[in-house]
Amino acid sequence: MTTALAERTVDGTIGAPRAGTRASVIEGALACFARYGVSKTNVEDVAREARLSRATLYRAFPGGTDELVAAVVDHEVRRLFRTLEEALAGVEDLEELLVVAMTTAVEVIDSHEALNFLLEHEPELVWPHVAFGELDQVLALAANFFEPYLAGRLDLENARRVGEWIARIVLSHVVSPPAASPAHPAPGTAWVRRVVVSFVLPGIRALESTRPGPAQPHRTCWSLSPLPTTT
Amino acid sequence: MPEAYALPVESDTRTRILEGTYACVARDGIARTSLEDAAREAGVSRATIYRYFPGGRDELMGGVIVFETLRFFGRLADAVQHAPSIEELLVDGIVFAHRAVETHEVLQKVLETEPELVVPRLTIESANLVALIAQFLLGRLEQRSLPVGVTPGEAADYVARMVLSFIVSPGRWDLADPAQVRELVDSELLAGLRPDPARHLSDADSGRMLT
Repeated sequence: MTTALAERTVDGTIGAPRAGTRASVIEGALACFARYGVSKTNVEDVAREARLSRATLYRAFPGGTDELVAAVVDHEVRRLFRTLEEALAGVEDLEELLVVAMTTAVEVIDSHEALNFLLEHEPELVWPHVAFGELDQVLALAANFFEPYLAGRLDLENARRVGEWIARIVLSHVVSPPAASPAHPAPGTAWVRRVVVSFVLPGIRALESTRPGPAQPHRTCWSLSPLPTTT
Repeated sequence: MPEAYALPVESDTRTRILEGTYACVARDGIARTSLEDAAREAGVSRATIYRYFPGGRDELMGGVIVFETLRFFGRLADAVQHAPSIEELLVDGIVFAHRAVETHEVLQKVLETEPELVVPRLTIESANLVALIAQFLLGRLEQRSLPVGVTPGEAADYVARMVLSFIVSPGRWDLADPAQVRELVDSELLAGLRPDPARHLSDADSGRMLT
C-alpha cells in the first residue's frame, strides 16, 4: 500500500505506474518463469520477486498472468532484436552480416533460460506459436527487422525475402540442431557459415541476376564478391 | 532415427491399433479419445494396446501422430518420385505438400481446437523428418554435379530443412502457385547446388564432378 501511495504522488493518477515498475515486474516474471515455468507462476511469486505489492503489480498489469506473459514475450523479442542490432553495428560485408545475424539469434535463443525451461517442461505453451499460421507472423517480424540491413544491397522485396529466408534457417537450427557429422564436425557457427556460403549467397546472387528490370525499381548496384573456396 | 521410422512393414496389429486410434482422433479430437475408445475402434483389448504401447495413452497418441505424419510423407514421396529432375521434384512436392496440409481435415481441426496437443509432438519429430526428407533427396543429389566443396549429404540436409520449413509455414509465398514455387526452388533451395560456371567441366547432370 505504501508503494501504491508513493506512485500516486509521483504520477498523479492511479493506473499509470512508473516505467520502472513495469520493468521490475517483467524482470521478476522472467525470473519466475525460468524457475517454475508459466503455469506454476502466480502473481504473488512475481510480486515477491519484483519486491512490489500485489496491488501495484495488478495496477501495472490488470490482466494478471496472461498479460504478464504477453509483456514478457514482447520484451524478450525486443531484447533479441536489440542484441542483433548491437551485434550487426558496423558489419559491412554481406557474408559476415548474415553469419553474425544468424549465429547471434541462435545463441540468444539457445541460451535463454526461461525459454529452455518452458521447452523442457511446458512445450505446449511455446511450439504452437512458432508453427503453421502463427509462424508466418514470426517470419514477417524477421523480414521487417532485416530489411534495413539488406536494403542498400537488394531491392525492398528481396531484402524482406532474404530476412524471412535466414529466419527459417535459424528456426530450423533451433528446432533440429544439426548433429556433428563428417560434413559438419562443428555445428553452430561453422554450420551457419557453411550454409551461408554454400546456399544463401549463391541464392542471393541468383535473385540479383534473374529479376527482370521492370519488377525491380530500385535496381541494386551492389554485387557479391566471388564465392570463397570452401574446400 | 527411432524404430518407428525404420519399420516400413509394421505388425498388422500395431497398424490396426493406430488406424483405429486415428479414426477416433479424426472424429473426436485428441483430448477426447481414451485408450478404451481406441481399443473398441480397433477391435482389440486394452491389454493388447499396452503390449504395443507400454506407455499407455500418451505413447499411443505420440504413435498416432508419427503414424499419420509418415503416411503424409509417404503420399508426398509417391506424388513426386517420378519427377524427371530435382527442380520439378521440389516444385511439385512443395505444391503438393502445401495443398495436402491445407486440406488435411484432421490436422486442420486439431490445429484449430487443440494445437497444444499436436504441435509439440510434431516439433519433436522435426529432426527425424529432416532426416527422412534428406534421405529421399540424397539419391538425386548424388547423381548431380555439385559445386566444389559441397557434399550431397549437406546439400540434402539443407534442402530438406527448407522444404520442411515451407511445408509448416508458407510465410510470404503463395505455395499454391507453381510459378512462385519454381522461383523459390531456383533461388532459395537450389541456387547453391549449380556447379560453379567457372569450374563447369561437363554437362551438369552427367555425374559427380571430380574435384
